[in-house]
Amino acid sequence: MNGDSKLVYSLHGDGELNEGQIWEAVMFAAHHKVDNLISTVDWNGQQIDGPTDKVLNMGNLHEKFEAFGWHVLEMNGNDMDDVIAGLDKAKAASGKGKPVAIMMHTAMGKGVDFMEGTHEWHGIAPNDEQLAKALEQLPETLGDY
Amino acid sequence: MAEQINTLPYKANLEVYSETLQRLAETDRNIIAVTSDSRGSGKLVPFGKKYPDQIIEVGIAEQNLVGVAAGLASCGKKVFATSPACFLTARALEQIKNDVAYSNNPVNVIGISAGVSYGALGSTHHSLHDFAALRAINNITVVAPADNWETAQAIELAANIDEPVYLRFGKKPMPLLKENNNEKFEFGKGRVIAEGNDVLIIGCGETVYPALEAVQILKEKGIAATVVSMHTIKPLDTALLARLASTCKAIVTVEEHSIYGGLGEACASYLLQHGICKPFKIVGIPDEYTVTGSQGEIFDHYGINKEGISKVVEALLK
Amino acid sequence: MTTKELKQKSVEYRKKILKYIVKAKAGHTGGSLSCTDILNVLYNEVMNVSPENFTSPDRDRYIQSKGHTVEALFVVLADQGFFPEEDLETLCQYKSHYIGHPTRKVKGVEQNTGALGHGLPIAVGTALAGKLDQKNYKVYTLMGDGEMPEGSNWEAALTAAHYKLDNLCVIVDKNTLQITASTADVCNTDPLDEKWKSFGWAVKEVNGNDVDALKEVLQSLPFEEGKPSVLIAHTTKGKGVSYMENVLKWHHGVPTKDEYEQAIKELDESLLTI
Repeated sequence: MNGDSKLVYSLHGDGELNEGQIWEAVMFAAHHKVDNLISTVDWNGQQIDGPTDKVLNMGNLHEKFEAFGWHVLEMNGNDMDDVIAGLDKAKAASGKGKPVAIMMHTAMGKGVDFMEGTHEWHGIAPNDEQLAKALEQLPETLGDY
Repeated sequence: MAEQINTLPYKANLEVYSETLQRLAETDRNIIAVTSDSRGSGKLVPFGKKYPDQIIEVGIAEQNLVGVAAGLASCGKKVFATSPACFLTARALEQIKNDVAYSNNPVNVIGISAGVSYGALGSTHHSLHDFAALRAINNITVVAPADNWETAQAIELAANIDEPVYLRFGKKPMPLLKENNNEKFEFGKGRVIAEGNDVLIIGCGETVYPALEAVQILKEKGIAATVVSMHTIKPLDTALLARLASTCKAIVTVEEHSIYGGLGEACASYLLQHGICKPFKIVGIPDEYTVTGSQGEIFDHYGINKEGISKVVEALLK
Repeated sequence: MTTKELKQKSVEYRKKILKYIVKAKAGHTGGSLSCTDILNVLYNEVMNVSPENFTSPDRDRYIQSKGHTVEALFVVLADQGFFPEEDLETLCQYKSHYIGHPTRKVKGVEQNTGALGHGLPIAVGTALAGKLDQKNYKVYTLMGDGEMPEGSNWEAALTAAHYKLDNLCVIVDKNTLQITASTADVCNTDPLDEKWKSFGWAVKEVNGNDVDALKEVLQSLPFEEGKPSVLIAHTTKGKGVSYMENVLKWHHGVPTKDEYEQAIKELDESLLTI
């Protein structure tokens, strides 16, 4: 409406896509051709009670967004090169009459073996021992930041 | 009195909810829990393991949770629609109003981790509006049990009455208010936990216990207090309220809710309209998004503790 | 019923819908006329529900999510014998039970509806109860295309597919107009079939003003084993009255005396061509 060229990014969980409010906004964005919007879905397949397909099967998210009028991309959300390339593709796809969605395939708890791919760590913090064990597995994070 | 109470074994009302539901389901296959990715949060994992056919998962979708629950209830199921109180009573408020209360589908709407139970997760996760919102909706009973006994009784009663009920509780272990002597629990009937002539303190849910703790402090200052667990906010036990209010010198209400529209205003409204005018103070969460902290820290910050309640009482009696 | 009888029924229903809307000086005229044939076929040909079995746990259930077109429902329920038709003389009058949306105070009505986006979640719960109790009943819910943007519908659509509720049938009265403008202009939900398919439903489309086609397709439920069914019924808003068809103002327009007489004349004439 204001004619500026900025892009808007949003990040969603796959479990969050159970909410009807999301689909209201998805329909609305397509209807109004909100093509300066890039929405990313952290498709980790886990939610607080367990794997998303057990809790409430979301089926094929790619198809859903397409059926709802979005331009859909996929990328490995845990591979930095792929993320950068994916976001570049999304930027290139913006401004063409459709909102853009990126399905990011990720692993919950990425980078720490005992946290990966399980919903157990949704809302809990590691204890000191677990933290030490986790940090050992993430050497690149030590000293870098 | 408070010291004795502390020695009794106790757990979170949320745990008692789950245990009670399991007990009821043993003999009643119509007991159904409906969850919105809230099986773990609602401590319903054991229930789901034992009775896999009696738990329905709808995903993170509160409006649908309540609508589905209404449909199940219309077919004779004894439904416990379980979700964090903050989401259930805000996003799905229209479903509670239309599909449950107005359509008279006897759903038990269970608001877990209510009030500020989620502490530092912040105001999105706090439910400080639910009494106010639901009090203004016809045909739903609004209940906040204080201790494990009240919770178990309320759940059992809710399962077996054919009308809509909203029950909310927290996840902090709650001491028993008193030893039970074959007392009968009824919705709409407050419980007198302590008796004294000077001040009437009315609480509900997890605020009754700090009110009870304040009794000891007040006693040391020569003030005798009556404490009521007004577990049912609607319909309010106006007979008990009128009787106790008539004989005391001041009234304090305590609730884990906004000071607007909750237990305190319900009491004040009744008393004023019936000519019972005493010094009166509502203790609760003021009209602001709360300070960051655990539930206990938030309570302390706003004086929802024994010291805070005692101070309010003393000030009123001055 | 024969095709001819069904068609005659639809005309009879439309005349009564107009009669009581005029009497009440209120009503959702266009939408009631668009869904008339759907209700006709459901109640006369498809569903196992009657005043006699209405309290039976085995009856089929009809939940009208687009509650505002209650006049069509009340006229059909009266015809089925749920209550005397003359009760509708009180429609929307002071102290009447016959209000402008479905209410359980009226015999034959399953749920109080009227707020859009509520019918499907309730229908899903009702269908789930049927599965849990191993009952054979089916659950039908009528939705408007204008209520498709309500998110609660899509929450319920996910749940229905997850629980494989093939005892559930949604009928979308796709008359393409809503109160403000066309559904395509307000919030486009096309392609609607793909949306439902992507949510795991079996989809069929039909001319929703063709009683024969409706009968055939609704007798073929479920459209696919293990999936909930959605029937996209393409209808004409204001169907049967020339000056109302596809005209926005008849969403809740009430005919004047002259307009009413003309409408009845047209409907009577249409009987001759059946």
